[in-house]
Amino acid sequence: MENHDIEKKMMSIVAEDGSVEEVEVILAFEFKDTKKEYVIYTKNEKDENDNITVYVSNVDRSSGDPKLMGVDDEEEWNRVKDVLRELSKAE
Amino acid sequence: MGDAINLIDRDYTTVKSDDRVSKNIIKTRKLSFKRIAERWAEFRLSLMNKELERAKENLVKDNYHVGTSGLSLGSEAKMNRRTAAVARLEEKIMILKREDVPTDYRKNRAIKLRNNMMANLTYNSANAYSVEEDKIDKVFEEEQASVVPETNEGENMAAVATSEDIDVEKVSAANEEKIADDVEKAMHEDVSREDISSVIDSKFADLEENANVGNFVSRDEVESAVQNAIDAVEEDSDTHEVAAEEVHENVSEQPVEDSERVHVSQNESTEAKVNHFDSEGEVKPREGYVPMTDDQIAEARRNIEYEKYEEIYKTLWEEKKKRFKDALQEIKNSAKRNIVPEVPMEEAVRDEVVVTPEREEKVEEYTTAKEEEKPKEDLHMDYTDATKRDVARAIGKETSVSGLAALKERALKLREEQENARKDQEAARREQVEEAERAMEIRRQTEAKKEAYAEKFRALEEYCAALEEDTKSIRSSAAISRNDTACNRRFIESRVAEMTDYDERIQEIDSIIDSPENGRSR
Repeated sequence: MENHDIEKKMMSIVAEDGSVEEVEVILAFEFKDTKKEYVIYTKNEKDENDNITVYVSNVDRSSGDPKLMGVDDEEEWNRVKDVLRELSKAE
Repeated sequence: MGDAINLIDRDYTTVKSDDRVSKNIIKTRKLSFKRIAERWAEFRLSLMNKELERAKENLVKDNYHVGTSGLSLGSEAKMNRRTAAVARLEEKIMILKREDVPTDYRKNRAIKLRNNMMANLTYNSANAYSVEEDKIDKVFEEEQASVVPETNEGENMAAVATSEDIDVEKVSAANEEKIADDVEKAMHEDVSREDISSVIDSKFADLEENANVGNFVSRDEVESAVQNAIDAVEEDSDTHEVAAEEVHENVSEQPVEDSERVHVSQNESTEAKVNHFDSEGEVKPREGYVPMTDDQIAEARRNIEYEKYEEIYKTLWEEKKKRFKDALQEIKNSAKRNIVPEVPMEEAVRDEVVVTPEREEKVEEYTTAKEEEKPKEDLHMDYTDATKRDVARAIGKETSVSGLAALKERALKLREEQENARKDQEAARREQVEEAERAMEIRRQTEAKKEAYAEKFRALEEYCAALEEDTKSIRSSAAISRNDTACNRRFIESRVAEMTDYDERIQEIDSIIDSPENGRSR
């Protein structure tokens, strides 16, 4: 199935200064053991080699509204990268 | 590595971002990006399709009760709600697949589904109406059915399933508008955040009252968790599970690289929650909040999915437990004490009571026999009626980790008991409503039978009267005939007598005329 056949899921990121940025969500998952939620999104930025930049954030919903947080822990970051590697493989 | 994930699809419409959030960036090759995005898109579509199948099943696999004129109130609301849910999901899938969606699709589709349902309902052995297996496909057809529902002839329920009782034919324009309004209301009730908020208010109030676990679970946390659960749509059973064995360190053909990362502190402060209560201690209504009606509340309560709540509470409890433990550790390790010594510390003897003249008196008070008889203080604290403040205060004194475990266990047990009690209550209510509907139905049928019998009786009476009248008439006619006959006989007799008399006289005259003495020659 081609990706363009499916409606994109857009996300509006509201910065502290109130500015809003529209991005496209391409993946969302949570780890079964920690229940931590992650969202992978893109602004459709490409570099000179046609590589696409994607952003990874932890989603914190503990305060009610969802909030994007960074992934600072090294081990956690490696786990996220592993997930993306695995999902990027051909089925 | 042993990692396992659940793919999820939650609400990301608007999210906040801290400017200090670390930029975890990855550069992906085109093909990798495409594969990742496709996997998630497939998951989203399959999730939606599963939800649609469940909604359809809910619609056609249930019993619907008939009231005095058409469906009972409860069954009508149930059908409206479920047809609206199917229409909503079908539309979402069409949007997801970028298909053309007709104008007012949801409303029109819900009406069609409702009409198809009404046309294919059949009376069943449970004294209710449902859709038979071989007619399920007809319900979801695009063509609108117009068949009168069958009745169970053996049950002699013809009086129930006539077209007078159930409007099974194509809905008139006026009724269609009313149905559309009901469906629209049901559609909005399905996903209104205010409704969710209101239901949670009432549920949370009950929880606070009955659980005796203090304020460990905040209302906002529950609301957020419930909304996430509703958006995720039974994520536990429907999310795509990547098994532990699948995720392992591997060098792929298209390696995923990370470029720059900016480390920032994780200690972002949480948003302070203020202004949730007024001066009387009552919860302030949210802006634009519209209180639900009793019917809406009852409907929302019936729709509460207890299994999701249970999962949510468990998750929140785990989070709170962690924080509580952290707080416990912090207090234990903290050197700070909000104690002002009565004498300069350098003059105080460690571990001894610092006695001032006034205090010495007080110390004596504490050494009475009564005090000595007092049983040794039990270090295990009873948190049965403890609030959060009580627990926090208790932490400052002596504390025990086992006390926390016991409290947690009690809280979980109480919560479980509460949920079971609620489920019982709801089940009892449902049963009560159903039995009441059934009683009304039986009463109506009995009245109908009684009326039919009375009518037949009257008809029979009239028939007897007519028979009697007719018999009288016939008898009268017969009597008249007999009378006529008698009269004629008498007439005949008298005439015969008269004739005989005349004959005799004629003979006498003839004998005179024809006598030889008269000398006539003949």
